[in-house]
Amino acid sequence: MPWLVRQVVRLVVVLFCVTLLTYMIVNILPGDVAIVILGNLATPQDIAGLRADLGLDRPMLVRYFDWLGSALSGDLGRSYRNGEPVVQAILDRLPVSLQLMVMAQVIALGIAIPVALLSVRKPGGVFDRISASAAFGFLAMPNFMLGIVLIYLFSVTFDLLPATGFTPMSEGLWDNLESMILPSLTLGLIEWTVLMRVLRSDLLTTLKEDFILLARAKGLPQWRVLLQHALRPSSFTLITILGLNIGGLIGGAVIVEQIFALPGVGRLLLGGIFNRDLILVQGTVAFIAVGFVVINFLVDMLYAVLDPRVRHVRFRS
Amino acid sequence: MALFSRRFGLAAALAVGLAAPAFAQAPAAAPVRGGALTIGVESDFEGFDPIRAGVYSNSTVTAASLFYETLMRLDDKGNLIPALALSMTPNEDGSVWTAKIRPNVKWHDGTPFTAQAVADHFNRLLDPANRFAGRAYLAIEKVEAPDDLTAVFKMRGPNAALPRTLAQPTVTTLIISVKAAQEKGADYNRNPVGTGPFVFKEWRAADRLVAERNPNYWDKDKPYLDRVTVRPLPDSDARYASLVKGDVQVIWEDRAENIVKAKKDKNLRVLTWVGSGALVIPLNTQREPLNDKRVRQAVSMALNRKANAAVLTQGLRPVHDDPYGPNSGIECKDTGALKYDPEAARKLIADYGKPVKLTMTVTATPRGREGAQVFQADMKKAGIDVEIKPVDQTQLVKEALSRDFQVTGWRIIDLADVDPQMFANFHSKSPINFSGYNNAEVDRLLLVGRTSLDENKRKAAYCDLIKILNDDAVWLWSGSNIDFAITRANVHGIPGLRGGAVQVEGAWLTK
Repeated sequence: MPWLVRQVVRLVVVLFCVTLLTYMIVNILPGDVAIVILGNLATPQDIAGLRADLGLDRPMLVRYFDWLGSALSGDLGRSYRNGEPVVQAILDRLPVSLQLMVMAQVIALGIAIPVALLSVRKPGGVFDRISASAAFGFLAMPNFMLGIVLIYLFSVTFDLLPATGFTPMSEGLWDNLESMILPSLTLGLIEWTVLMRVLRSDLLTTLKEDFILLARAKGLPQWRVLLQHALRPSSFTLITILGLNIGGLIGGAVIVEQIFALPGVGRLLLGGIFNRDLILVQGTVAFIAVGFVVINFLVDMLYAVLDPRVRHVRFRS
Repeated sequence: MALFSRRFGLAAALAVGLAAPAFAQAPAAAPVRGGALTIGVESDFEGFDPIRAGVYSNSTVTAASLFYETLMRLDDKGNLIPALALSMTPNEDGSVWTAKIRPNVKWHDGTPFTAQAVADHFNRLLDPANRFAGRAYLAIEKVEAPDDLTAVFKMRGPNAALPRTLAQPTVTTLIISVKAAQEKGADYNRNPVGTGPFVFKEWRAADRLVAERNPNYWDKDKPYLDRVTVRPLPDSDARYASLVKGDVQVIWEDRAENIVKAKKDKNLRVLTWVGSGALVIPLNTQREPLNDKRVRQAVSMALNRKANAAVLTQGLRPVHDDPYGPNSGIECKDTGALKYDPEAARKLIADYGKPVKLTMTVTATPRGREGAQVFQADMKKAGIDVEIKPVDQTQLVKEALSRDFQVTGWRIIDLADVDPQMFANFHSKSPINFSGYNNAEVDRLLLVGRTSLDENKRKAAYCDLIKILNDDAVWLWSGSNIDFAITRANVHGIPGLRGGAVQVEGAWLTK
């Protein structure tokens, strides 16, 4: 089977499992959207009536396959809570979450790569040790705490950036960036640590290779050896981690969006869970799952771009 | 909402036992026109069609009262003042109330506001086909509009509480344009039309709701502000930081640390509102051993309510011996409350003669558990064993409604009149009488409270009632409903936070 077809089949199977599992988990949750809508003191008749209107009285599997059928044609249903189409709700909030994750990733890489390169210049040296300690410090810090610390530092104390809220790009690029700096920093400052450690260790291995010795023997300066010869072959694990870390980033985004009051997909999901808005949760999780799998698929493709040998092997098999 | 929910965690250094009115803002000079105000609330809005939204959180009432209005209003002393209705008068026995509608009021879409619109709003909520749960609390049979300026409320029986009930802004009493709701269908929930001081402009989900000054508002001087933005800021520390930074000028707050901090900050002002209702601990009078009055009294006397409230809420939440609250106008000289006396409780248990074991059902939240743990510790001193059963909130409601519990946690919400809740909770025929309490004299007093048009008679009835309830130890009052808002020092004119909502119709800014 061609590689691409295999990937697509894998994607379909993963999505089926993820959505079915989500459906079951959300169904096990105690609570009922009908009670959320009608209030604590609604009569049992009203609750039964609303459940019937929403189609919640049918067996779970029937509902799941019904949902799956529409989902395949791009319709994720309407929120039980407020009737908003789920696809619309996700698309409205997607730009915020995407921007948050891209900016966080850029910040993380922007710190991780230079720090890793500087560290391997003298492994075990002062800079290496300081950067390792800093990395563990940030890694140990929960993002909700880091977020609040950054708010108190940059908003309250130095009055540089807004504490909460989101300004869309249509209202000015700088205003938009201003509102996203602290949330992205909160995610990025934790994310860079893993990337840096992985890259550092791969760089150290690469630096022992013969072609590095050759480069040095040619008299190339240290920075050229590192940037032009060592960095690219050392980036494979880094890129794998980048893909896999999207999951962690999405989890982090849920919390960061809540702290900074950003209208993103994470907050949509959280609201859906609190309201037992099953169909919203289902649609959002399916969407995130597709995103996760597609990004990792793209990461696989990136290997091929970085290393012709991979391209050769994978696309022929 | 059940007791020991998130609001149980509020706290701060307010002295226990506030005098009425608990709400006070420094008096300022004459109001100034202009300016924009941003309010930070806790959660996003359910929407603004009561049928679709079902319930309004206090965040939603804060937003909805920008563009919706009630028929009557209450000042901070609890006096009724006219709003969309100029007056409300009862017939002889209070079974029919006639509202004179304010003339020349217009909806934001330009159509005239009439008595028919009032009738349409309430009849829509009362229609069983719409399944509006709040209708259980409405004692209205139907509303008619004989002419454009007269709305006639036909009650299910004599009812003295109607004008006050209609004066508190809630999902029921804030009047929407049914005509616009029918025209817009499902979109109305996100595009409300009202008569209020501000016109709805925009709602970006989970981000902000914007409303602008209504230039055609019937109260010519108001509102003073040009624009109001309401932003859901779910994280309380970030919400507080946004206020300190000045991104928002008012926040609703329930976190003790922030309230205590704000009181020390000269740039901020803390608004405090002790509402009616209370956090309560209902005892099931139909289950052994709580069907024995001695055991219930022992539980009541073993519970150190004041000390517990001080521990759980850093002394912020006042504890009263009734669920009426300082702003209800009901002040009882003698509430018949049983004093904290673990020794006497122990004797009552000894008198009962059998070992007493109780199960307390609470929400599976840190606050639910904390509340149950202090209860458990107090009971131990009187020789009563308590097992804690943490459950999901909906499960707790289910068990309470089906009377399938011994001891639980609950909340009587803050309403302008005590009748709807007291009647629902303690009348022997009420389906919401969780405790299964059955007392003919209590039923009679509840009816006096509901039907008497003589305010003094009503107050006396509620005072007699509380004596019986306290002596019988049916529900224990573990703390008042209390709400806080924090404002920048230049914000003025925000009235008492009824139901936890921040209302800014009369708010104004100085530099």
